Amino acid sequence: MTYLEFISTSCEMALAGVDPNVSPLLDIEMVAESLVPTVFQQVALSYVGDPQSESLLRRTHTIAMTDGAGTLPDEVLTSCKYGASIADPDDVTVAQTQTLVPFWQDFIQPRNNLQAQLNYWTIKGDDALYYLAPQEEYPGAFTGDLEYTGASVPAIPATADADLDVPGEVLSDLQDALSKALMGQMEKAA
Amino acid sequence: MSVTYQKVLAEVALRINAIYGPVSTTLETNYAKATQSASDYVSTIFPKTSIQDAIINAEEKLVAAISNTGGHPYRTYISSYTAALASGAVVPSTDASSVPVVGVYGSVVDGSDTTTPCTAAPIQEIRRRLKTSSYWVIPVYLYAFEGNAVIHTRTTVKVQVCVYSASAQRSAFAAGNILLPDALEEAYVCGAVSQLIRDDEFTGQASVYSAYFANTLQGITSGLTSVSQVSMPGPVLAQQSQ
Repeated sequence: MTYLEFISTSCEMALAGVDPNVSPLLDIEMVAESLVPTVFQQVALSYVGDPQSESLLRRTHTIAMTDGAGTLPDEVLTSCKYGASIADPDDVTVAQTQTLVPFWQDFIQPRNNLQAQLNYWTIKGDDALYYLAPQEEYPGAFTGDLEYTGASVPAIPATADADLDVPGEVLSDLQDALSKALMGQMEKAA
Repeated sequence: MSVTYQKVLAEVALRINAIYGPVSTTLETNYAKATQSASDYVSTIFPKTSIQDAIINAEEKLVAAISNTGGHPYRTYISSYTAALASGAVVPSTDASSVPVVGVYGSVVDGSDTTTPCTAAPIQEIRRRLKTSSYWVIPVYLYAFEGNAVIHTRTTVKVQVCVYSASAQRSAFAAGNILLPDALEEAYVCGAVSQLIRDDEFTGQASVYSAYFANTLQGITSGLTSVSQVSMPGPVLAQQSQ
């Protein structure tokens, strides 16, 4: 479904059961689009905590790393990092031996021989991805692209005719949430 | 529009005894001609050109009534579009072919796709859109008239208008059909005859035909859909209220 179709169908859903000729919701595409970032965020957050639902939100982002550090895009839900993974499209061993180090203070500690065989990664703050290749000590030296796969807020397409990158289960929830938001029934985020 | 101006001319001329016909057969022959020659007109009160002017004047009144009636189906006969207008542009007084605009505006459509109409929206909403244009992804089709200008959310829009050029119709008079639908042929005749008064000649007849014509004008204007009828009381309504 394209972004334009998504907005249009959500607007029509908001008109269900009312006379469109007299409804103040008749010409509300601009209102709908202005609500989209909030609705996407709230629907995504409603999936957090349920491993099965979270998997529906996982998307792969290519992160440009410089000296072992890179920046995750805004749509990544870093609170779901435990279900996330990294990969190097040019080196399969990165995915095979990756290890999430959840706490920054552990990530920067000197590594023993066993630990030094692993690919460490962590998230500092809300969007900084750090990475240590095997045998490296903090700060890392890796420069290149890494793929981060993790739960993300659905991305807003760049054009009206571009498809929404969400599975059908999520799409129906997004439509439902947007139509309710248009009717003034937006639910507070979890 | 298969009725010719010349046919209307003959109908009007007959009513003011302008067609030569010393006997009924001659009158019939001259009246039935597709185009009468100057010698077929014998009136010393109304020369042929003055009758033509009266017919054009009647057409102007009909066009005014139709063009001031938003949504009237007869607008199709005189409908046109302005050139493509950027937001904030003054709506021109002529259409894209430089024919003068008359009456109230019709639809506002997308400048690159005249099959997609825009909808009227509050100026404030359009202003927000224009001031944050890079934010939006979904196209919207909104417009508002502000003073003499049109502001909108498209690259360009075209305004559907009614147009009329009396000089163009005078040029078409010799060999062309009437501008408006055939159903208004009678109105052309009545409108023209109602104007053909000189001193005390034909005053009674003109009064009768004026009433016929007024009924037609009222019928057209009673089809108002976008402009309040109360807002435009014309001579017809004033006459009725007496």
